[in-house]
Amino acid sequence: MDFAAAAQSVLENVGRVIDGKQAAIETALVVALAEGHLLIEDVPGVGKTALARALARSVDCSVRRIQFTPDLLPSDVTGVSVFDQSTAGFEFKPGAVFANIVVADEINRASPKTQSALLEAMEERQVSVDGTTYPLPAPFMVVATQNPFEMEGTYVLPEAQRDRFTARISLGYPDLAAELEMVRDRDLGDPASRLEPVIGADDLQQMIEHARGVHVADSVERYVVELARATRESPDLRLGASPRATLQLIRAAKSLAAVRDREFVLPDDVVELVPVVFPHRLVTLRGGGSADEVVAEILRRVPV
Amino acid sequence: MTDLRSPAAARRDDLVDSCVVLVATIVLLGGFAGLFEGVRWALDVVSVLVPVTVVAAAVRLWSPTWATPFGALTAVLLVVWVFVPGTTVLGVPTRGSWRGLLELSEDARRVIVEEVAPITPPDSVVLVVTVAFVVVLVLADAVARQAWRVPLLGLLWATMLVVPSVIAMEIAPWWVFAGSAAAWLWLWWSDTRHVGVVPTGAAVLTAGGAVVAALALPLVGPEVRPTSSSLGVTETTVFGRGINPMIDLGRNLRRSDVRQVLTYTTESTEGVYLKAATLRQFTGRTWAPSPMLMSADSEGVEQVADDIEVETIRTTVRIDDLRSSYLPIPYPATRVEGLTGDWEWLIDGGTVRATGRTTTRDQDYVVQSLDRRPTAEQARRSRTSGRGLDAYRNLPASVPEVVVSTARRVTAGATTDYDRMLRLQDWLRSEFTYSVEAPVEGGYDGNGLDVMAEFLSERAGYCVHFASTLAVMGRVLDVPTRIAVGYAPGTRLRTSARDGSTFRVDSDDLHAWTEVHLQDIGWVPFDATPGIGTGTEFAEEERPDAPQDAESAAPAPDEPSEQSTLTPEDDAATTAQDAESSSTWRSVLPAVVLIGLLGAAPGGLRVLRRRRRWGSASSEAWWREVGDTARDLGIEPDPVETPRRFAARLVEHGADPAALDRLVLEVEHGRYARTAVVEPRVDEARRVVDTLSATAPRRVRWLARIMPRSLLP
Repeated sequence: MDFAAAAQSVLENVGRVIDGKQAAIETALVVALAEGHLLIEDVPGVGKTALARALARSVDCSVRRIQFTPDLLPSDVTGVSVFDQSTAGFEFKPGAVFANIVVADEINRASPKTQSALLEAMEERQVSVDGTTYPLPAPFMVVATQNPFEMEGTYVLPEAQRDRFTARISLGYPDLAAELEMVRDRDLGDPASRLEPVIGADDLQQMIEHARGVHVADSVERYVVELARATRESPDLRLGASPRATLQLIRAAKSLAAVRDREFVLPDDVVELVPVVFPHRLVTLRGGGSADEVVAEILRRVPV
Repeated sequence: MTDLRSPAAARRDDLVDSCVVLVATIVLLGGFAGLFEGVRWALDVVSVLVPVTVVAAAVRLWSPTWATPFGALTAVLLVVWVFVPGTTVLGVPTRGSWRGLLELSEDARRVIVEEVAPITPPDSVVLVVTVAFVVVLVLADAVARQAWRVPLLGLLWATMLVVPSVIAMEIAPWWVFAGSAAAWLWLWWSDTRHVGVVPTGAAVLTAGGAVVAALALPLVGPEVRPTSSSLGVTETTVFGRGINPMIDLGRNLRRSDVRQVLTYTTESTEGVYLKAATLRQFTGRTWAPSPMLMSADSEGVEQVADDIEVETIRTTVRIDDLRSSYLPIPYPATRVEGLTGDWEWLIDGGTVRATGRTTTRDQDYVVQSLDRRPTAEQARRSRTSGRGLDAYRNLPASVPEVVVSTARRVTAGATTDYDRMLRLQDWLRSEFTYSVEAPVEGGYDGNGLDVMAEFLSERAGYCVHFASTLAVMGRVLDVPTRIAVGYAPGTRLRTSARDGSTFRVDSDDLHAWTEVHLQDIGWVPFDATPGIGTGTEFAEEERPDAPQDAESAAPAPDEPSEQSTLTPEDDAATTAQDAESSSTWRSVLPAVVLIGLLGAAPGGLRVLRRRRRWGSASSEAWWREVGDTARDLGIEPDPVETPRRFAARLVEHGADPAALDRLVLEVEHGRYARTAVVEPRVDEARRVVDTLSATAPRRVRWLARIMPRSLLP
């Protein structure tokens, strides 16, 4: 199928539910096509979960949702081996993570132990329980949401785990028109539940393969590396972008180029993605500017 | 273009820049060496330039904003301290200081108008030169911190290079060109270094071309000749172009186009010498006027002893074609009537000079002068050692031995000053031949001491050589002498019983002769030039019926070349006018062309570069052209900008969006795609540049054309 048309249909489908957030929707799709995971960070009630669900429903694939709570156990996520008396053996009951798209709601409410169970699955794309390894389905994507504020019973996501997310976006409050639109829509019931899938899991996998093949010129690769190095050398940061971040940025840039119906990556793609790919991994020094500010400053400084 | 230097490195570079500017300014000073004698003036100027640079550099370390004001303040104080030292109170300038400076500059203006380069500059002229160079230094020092410093300094320094050639008609020595060009290139190079950009091929080419041009210019520069006007001030009087008497004389005499300068009618039957200027000061290199007593009265005073026979002569002069600030009048004149404009009397020389913009052009006036007729006996009795005449006996120490010994040998046996001068005059008139060309061919043209020995052995020359040699020999013998410049009596046209004789004076009647001071008689002309006049000889007591003196000396019957008229009158007049305007052009043209070329060079380079890029088939070259055009128009590209973002900015500035999109697409394909599939279209690229230029304000557009910023790295 035609890549651009498919991408466009997904964007439109999700856009039917999430009003006025085209950029966030596009980023979500780009992350999906880059085989990455998406972190949506915002205040409660702006549509984080709705976006995750809409994206998941637009693709005809298995979707699981996990509501993270402090008492959630790692085995709830990964699955557990249960003794079957009839066979006198252990039988593996897959956890919530066994799905193409996993919506991890309020991920920072779970204990670090549970979080790391999910994060291992994200990186390895497999789950090991009792010495046995179970591969996760492909494509596999985690869309996690979290509240930015220090709320009761939350745990901050450690740096190493934040690094696993390709991008972090925030939705922000809708503008006046979008909110009015939303009020009318919601009157008729939850729009997300009315969404029909527009592509299948196989289509998504094909699209991922296609995006992988997008050309990246040497100068663009060098630009990406220079940006990553600039974060490591920045006097305002305690921790810069990892090589994993560099790789994910390139993958995301390829996907964005593909979504924009282009066979090659432009530095503009990189410039557009850096603010969502880099900041959540960086650790700023106390008293300095925020990571977003530092990244913006680096973009103003590093020549293309 | 980002400055990547650390603050310390920037400070160090600032210091180096200051030094380079100082050195370049001092080198440019060398271009003026041809105008002035000696080196004292240069040391004076440098002694002001160096502290100004030091103060400005020191202040810059503390606050860049205040460097130029403090430098300028230092310059003002130093100028006051050096040139009007007595007028300050505890070093602070007072109103008297300004008055003193004004007086000095007024004096300088006079010297500049009247004197001929090279001169030994008086303080007043050194002041003017100092102020000019301090202004150039402070300006250059300030400009050297600006982004546009390379073209601005180039223009400033090129102007200073051209100034001496406009003034003295000589091109500055090659090392001045090379030195200032080197300083300029250094600044250019350091500009490229600061921003971490290697000079492009074009820059290297330009730089190399500039060096070659700088070195070649003095060699191929046209030999510039001063204007033709006989006693020539043109409307724009500048230094050394004033009366220019001694140097211009020979050139004017050698001119092929002769024109009628004036006609006069006189009661004297033999015609009169018309004196315009008096030269008293002999530097060894040339004769020059010196500051003289002035009077606004229209009457001169000449002391003549009572027992000497004197007759008053009335001469009516009509100027036909002469523009000069000096009025040709018979000597000694007692009264001048009928002049228009502002004139003043120079008492020492007995001459009349214009002030302000008045010139002799179209003047019509009547002069009363004295015809002194002493006897030879009275002349012999007259002592020459009067008071106040020491200035007329001054000689440089370097008088060649041959001049001294010849003077002594020729005058051996003569007992009075009158007889000595008579012998020298007659010896020169009889033993030497008149030739306008011989000195030029023999390489001893001029009136300095260095050529005098050559003249004495070649025994050929024209009025300048004879007058100068007689005057110097007179001074060797302790007789007060000076040089008069003016016109020989000319050609008689008619004689009427009622008005007297009418004479025509042509441009080649321009003449120089010697005046000798005899007490009781005054300044007596002695004309040592063979073939002109008959020389001075007062009547002996035995033959009182044949009095003859220089004022009434008749033109020689055998016509010397000086008085020959080669072309018909009216024809000569028109060609002379044409020649005058064309030769004025000839003298200014090289300077104008040089400034023009230097001014047009950046724009020309830019046009060439643009043409080359349009000619190439590469979108990348076109994109560079768009970037450079934007820079020229003040839209600075940012290295962190992607082509798209830069293009978006250009659209805001009026570039055609569709054409720009197309060009950006080509560029992006060329740079980032696996294979470029977009066909390059130069018309779209040109459209981008055209629309971008068209929407810029007119002033910006002109600046972009004349001083394209994109030539800077």
